[in-house]
Amino acid sequence: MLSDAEDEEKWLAEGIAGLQHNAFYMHRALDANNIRDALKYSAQMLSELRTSKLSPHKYYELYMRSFDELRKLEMFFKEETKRGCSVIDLYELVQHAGNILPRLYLLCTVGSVYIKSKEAPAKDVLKDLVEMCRGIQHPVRGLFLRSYLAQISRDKLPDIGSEYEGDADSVVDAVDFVLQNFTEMNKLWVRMQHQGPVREKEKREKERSELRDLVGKNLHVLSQIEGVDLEMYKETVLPRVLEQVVNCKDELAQYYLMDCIIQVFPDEYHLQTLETLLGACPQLQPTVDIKTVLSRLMERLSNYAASSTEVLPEFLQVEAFAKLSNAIGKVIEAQVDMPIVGAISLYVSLLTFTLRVHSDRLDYVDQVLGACVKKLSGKAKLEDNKATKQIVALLSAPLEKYNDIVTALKLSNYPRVMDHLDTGTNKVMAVVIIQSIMKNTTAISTSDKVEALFELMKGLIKDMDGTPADELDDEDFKEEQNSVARLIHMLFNEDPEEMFKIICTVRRHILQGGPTRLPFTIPPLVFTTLKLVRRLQGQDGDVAGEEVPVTPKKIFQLLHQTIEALSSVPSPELALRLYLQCAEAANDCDLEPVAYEFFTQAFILYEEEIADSKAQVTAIHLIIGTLQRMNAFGVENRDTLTHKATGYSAKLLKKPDQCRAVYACSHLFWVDDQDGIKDGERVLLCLKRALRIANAAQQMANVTRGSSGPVTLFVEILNKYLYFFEKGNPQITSKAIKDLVELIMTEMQSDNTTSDPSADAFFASTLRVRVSLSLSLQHKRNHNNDNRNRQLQPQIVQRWNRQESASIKHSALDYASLIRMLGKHGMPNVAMQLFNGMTSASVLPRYATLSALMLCYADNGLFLDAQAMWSEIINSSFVPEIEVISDLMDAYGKMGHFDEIRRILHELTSRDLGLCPEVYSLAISCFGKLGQLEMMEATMKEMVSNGFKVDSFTGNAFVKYYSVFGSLTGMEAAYGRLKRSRILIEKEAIRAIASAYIRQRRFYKLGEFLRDVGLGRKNTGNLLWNLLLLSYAANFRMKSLQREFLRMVDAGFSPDLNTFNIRALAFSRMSMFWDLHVSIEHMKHENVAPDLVTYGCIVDAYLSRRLGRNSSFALKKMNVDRHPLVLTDPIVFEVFGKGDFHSSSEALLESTRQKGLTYSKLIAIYLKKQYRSNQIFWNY
Amino acid sequence: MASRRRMLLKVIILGDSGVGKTSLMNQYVNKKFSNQYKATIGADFLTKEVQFEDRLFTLQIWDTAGQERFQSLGVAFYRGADCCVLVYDVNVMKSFDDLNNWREEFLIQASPSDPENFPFVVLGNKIDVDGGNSRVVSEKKAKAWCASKGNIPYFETSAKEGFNVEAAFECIAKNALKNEPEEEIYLPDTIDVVGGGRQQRSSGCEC
Ligand SMILES: Nc1nc2c(ncn2[C@@H]2O[C@H](COP(=O)(O)OP(=O)(O)OP(=O)(O)O)[C@@H](O)[C@H]2O)c(=O)[nH]1
Ligand SMILES: [Mg+2]
Repeated sequence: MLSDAEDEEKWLAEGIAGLQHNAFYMHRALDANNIRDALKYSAQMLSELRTSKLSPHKYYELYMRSFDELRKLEMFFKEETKRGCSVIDLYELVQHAGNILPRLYLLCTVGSVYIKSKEAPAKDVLKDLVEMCRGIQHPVRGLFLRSYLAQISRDKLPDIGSEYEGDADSVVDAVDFVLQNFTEMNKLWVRMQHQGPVREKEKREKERSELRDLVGKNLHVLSQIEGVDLEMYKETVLPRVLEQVVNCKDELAQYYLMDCIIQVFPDEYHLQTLETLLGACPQLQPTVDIKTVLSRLMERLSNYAASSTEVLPEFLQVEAFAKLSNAIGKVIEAQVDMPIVGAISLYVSLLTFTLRVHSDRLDYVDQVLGACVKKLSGKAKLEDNKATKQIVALLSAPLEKYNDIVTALKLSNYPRVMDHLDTGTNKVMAVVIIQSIMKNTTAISTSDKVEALFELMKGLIKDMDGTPADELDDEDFKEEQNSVARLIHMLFNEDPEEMFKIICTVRRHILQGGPTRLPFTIPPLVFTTLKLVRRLQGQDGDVAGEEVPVTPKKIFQLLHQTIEALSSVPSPELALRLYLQCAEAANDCDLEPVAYEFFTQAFILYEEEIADSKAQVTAIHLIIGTLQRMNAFGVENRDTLTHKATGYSAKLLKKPDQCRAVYACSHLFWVDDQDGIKDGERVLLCLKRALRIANAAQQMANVTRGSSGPVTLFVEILNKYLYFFEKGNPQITSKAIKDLVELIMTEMQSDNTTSDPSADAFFASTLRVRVSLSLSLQHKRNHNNDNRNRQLQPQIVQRWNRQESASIKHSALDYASLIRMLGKHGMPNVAMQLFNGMTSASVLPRYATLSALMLCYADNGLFLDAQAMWSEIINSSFVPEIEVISDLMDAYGKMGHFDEIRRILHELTSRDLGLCPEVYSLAISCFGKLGQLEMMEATMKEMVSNGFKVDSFTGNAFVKYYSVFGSLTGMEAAYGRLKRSRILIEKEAIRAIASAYIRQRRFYKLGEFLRDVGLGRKNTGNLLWNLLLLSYAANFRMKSLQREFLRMVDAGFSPDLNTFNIRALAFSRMSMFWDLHVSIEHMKHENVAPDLVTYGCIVDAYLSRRLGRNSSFALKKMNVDRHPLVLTDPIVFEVFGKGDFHSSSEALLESTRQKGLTYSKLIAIYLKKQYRSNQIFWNY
Repeated sequence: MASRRRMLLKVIILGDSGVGKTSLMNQYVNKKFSNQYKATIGADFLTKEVQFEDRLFTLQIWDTAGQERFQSLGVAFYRGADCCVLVYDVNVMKSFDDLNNWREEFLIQASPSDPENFPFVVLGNKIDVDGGNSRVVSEKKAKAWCASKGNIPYFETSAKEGFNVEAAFECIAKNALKNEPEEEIYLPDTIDVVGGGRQQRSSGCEC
């Protein structure tokens, strides 16, 4: 059995076939000037329109085809009349057609020619036609016929200024004609609702809805009539249209036609007829969605007002605000059942209108908000999601308009509206307010305003309705509190007194926030307060005469109390940080006792509250760092504090932590200022103590693990030695450093007694540290240079030697790998020294060493030296390895020395080393890789002309580089050559070519290419087919996409993830939800696991249609608990880009190293983000 | 008969609401312009006779509603179009961004046989507004887009001032004329309607 839709398709196809058949004979008759046959076949053709089996959509298709054919007939009629045939006769003749519907279509067609001929007044012909059309009372057929009449008469109305203009009342005739046609059409349309069985009501409504534009079209025609001026619109057009609208008593018609009136007639007219138009609203059926109608009217008028300031007086003159406000009141009153969201959205529209038209009238704005409060009062807090959204819009509108919360704070009803929001939305709104302030960098500069503002955002500041904060979403909560923090940072007043008041106000509010909020809000408050301190810092403490002003002292007291509040959290680590910040500020104000007090507090916290060993490490380092920067302390205080700090450092739990803290303490005795303390002895004491601890740590490690002690600690201490040495601390001698270096060497040696494979890497990196240390020393200490270097270099070699023989048995490697490593790290001169050292020690350099040194030079841009090495190699008995040549060519290529590459090529090919094909191949790839197509081409020619056969790899590379760097023509030629050489094109080259076509968006060509390669080829997997599908998907050729997909399956390929994703992406972009679902099912059936891209297709498709919630329907078929992965071939993204969900999730996956992310989490985060951005950038 | 068919050139104008589609058509056909905005409902055409190399053609210009809710019957009238004009407002970024959708939508719905070569013309309208100070889409950007879509001809117009309108439509007509008509060829009593279309046209049996 056929479904309805299939049935319809069949009937439409039959209709089209019949139509084409008769049109064919009609054309013939037209060509033969055979008028009778022409009429006969055209009438038969038009009979197809008598069907009642088609839905309006399909009927429209048939109608359009007939319409096109009738244009040919019309032309023929025109020619006929030119040839002398009387149009009146024609008009008579067509009336003989047997069937009424074809007859009327023909009559309209001849009528059009008739009017054009001007043999009769347009108004008479039109009147005749519009009357005759009464003959069709079937709604669908009648509507289309009349729309045909409207269409052909469109440019023939007796409008003023038109060539068909008649006598004085000509415009009236034109208007009458259109109004009559409109009225008749509306009747047909409304009547349709009452025809047919009740059970088909829904279907009928859908069909009616499809037909609506045919009716509305007449209003558009009316609006286009030149002669319809304001006068005529006011007196005739609007009243008559409204009469029809009101009297038809049909919900759909009323709603739609009101919308049409508003959209098709100009703004000036609406303003001047507001009363009439608004007066109709309460007369409409109670079910009509008047709020949307009114909103659209206000939106139009707002846009109009915004278009030019010149039109504003018009608004005032007609008292638009009062009228609209009044009408809205009435509608809300009349429609008792209107949900609250409807009423609020009406107010939103009115508010938008007010803000655009009367932006200077804050009283109007407040009035609208007041009306809204009235509507809301007595009701419980809003739970309706849509309604709260509207309120957010309502409250956001003034913010956006005035770019300034300060203005909004003046609106007395503003906080009252906010009070009606539920806690969640209240918060959202508060965030919106903060964002507005951020965006506009509004200065909130008095404590009064701050008070009002914090009162407004109390939802963020403290727990409301007893919902404890910890029940709420953690991430949301953090984000909210962070925005409060940002807000606090922004508060500013030039005047310290006022600023202090602001700080006190904020403090009072945030202290109500409870333990969850304080960690977010106290730090910004402390920092803002410290900023004020810094401003006052220059001034002297007490200014004589004036009444007690704010002083740093007073502020520090407040800070002290503020930070203390954190003890309720408790958050000792944070408090400690803040105390230290305050101490530093007090230090800068030269308030030694205050600074000391803050340090005391910090130490108390350290002793009493911070028990965790990791936290202790961080805290002690903070203390040391801050203490180091203090300069206000006298000797006594300072000694007490440094003593404590070193004492606690040595008491940390883990030895390495102890060691690091202790050597950090060394800085407490050596302040690198002009007159800072420089107690070299105590520095040394610290370092020695650190060394002792490191030793102890080493031994402990030996005992517990048997080997591999923490040699890094020694290296770190060495660093400190070097630092103080450089700073000129006389206690640090070069001997001490040398000893330490020796010690480290020995330690390392004993490390390596076990032949642990990881020791190799460890040793290498340590060596690197050493080498760079030696270099920096060499650089900084010229006088010691020679000595030190001479000592170090053999050591490196020695160490290396030992290492070599100890762990790597095949000595053939000799120094080559060390040299390469030095080269890679930009130390060619060390490498050279090493090499020289070797030769002087008469170790014969091997080929590997030579080439390593050569590459080391080349990598570092020392081409002359590299060339010398090259000559040495090539002129010796060594045969260079192909890898070395490749590396060398690459090194030259990177620097753009292409000639060098050619030179190498020729030096090698001129010597018969049996390497020629490989070397040519290398050079070709090397040039290609760098985009040097001409050189690549020349090399290829040379290779071929020297009689070498091009292998598959080289041939494919050749094509690939043409695709990447060349033009399409160049690429196609290269591919042609490959084919002629009978080399099979391989995957990589296929991809490169496809990529090139995609870049140029030549998808058709891409398809041709793939067919040429041969879709039957099996050894490239699904690549060819997938690319083919991609070529269709790219153009959204959905039918072809589907067809080729089936062929692919038929040809025995099983679709893979890429196949499915290509289809899914196309479906998703086209919002083809059904196909998307089917494809997902298919995937599941084939056991192909979806990846991030697949999920993205679903999420994006639903979200783009604002159907986010519905996406779960599709997603429930998929496993959303998997870890997200992208497995799709990147070439797909070259066509489609990455979807929104895909790219934003990818960013998230990269930024967080969260292990547990799943698709469902990603989707939740994304939806929330979208939801939030929708709320915040509310656009209406 | 072929000549009769070719005398009619069908052009479709697409673009967001308010970009000036109706105004451009009215300026071109009637030499009139109004500052008032009157939304278009459904689809609607005007005709204009144009001369081209001593032959007369009738340009059938279809103006469409940019507002989706006034396009309830669908787009069956795209069928048989010879050229599609895409209009945006140089002062409104979104209207430019949407061109791609309009173009794709057209290609899907009209499904011309050779979509890569189907003639489009892009018009950047309202260049007169505020002396060009409020424009947000540069000529360069628009041209780059046109180039990327297979070198679509591009014109900057003002329906208000009548600037470049004539030239634009001349180009539109020219391109429409170049377009190979691709009507399905109907042969009575044969079954092969679709598959044989191409060959039959070139063999000229319809004349
Ligand atoms: N300044 C200026 N205004 C223009 C120009 N073209 C159109 N307008 C104005 O822009 C508004 C919209 O023009 P329309 O031609 O009705 O726009 P449309 O594209 O047909 O809109 P829809 O029918 O809704 O799709 C009207 O107020 C016109 O007066 C122009 O070139 N310059
Ligand atoms: Mg329009």
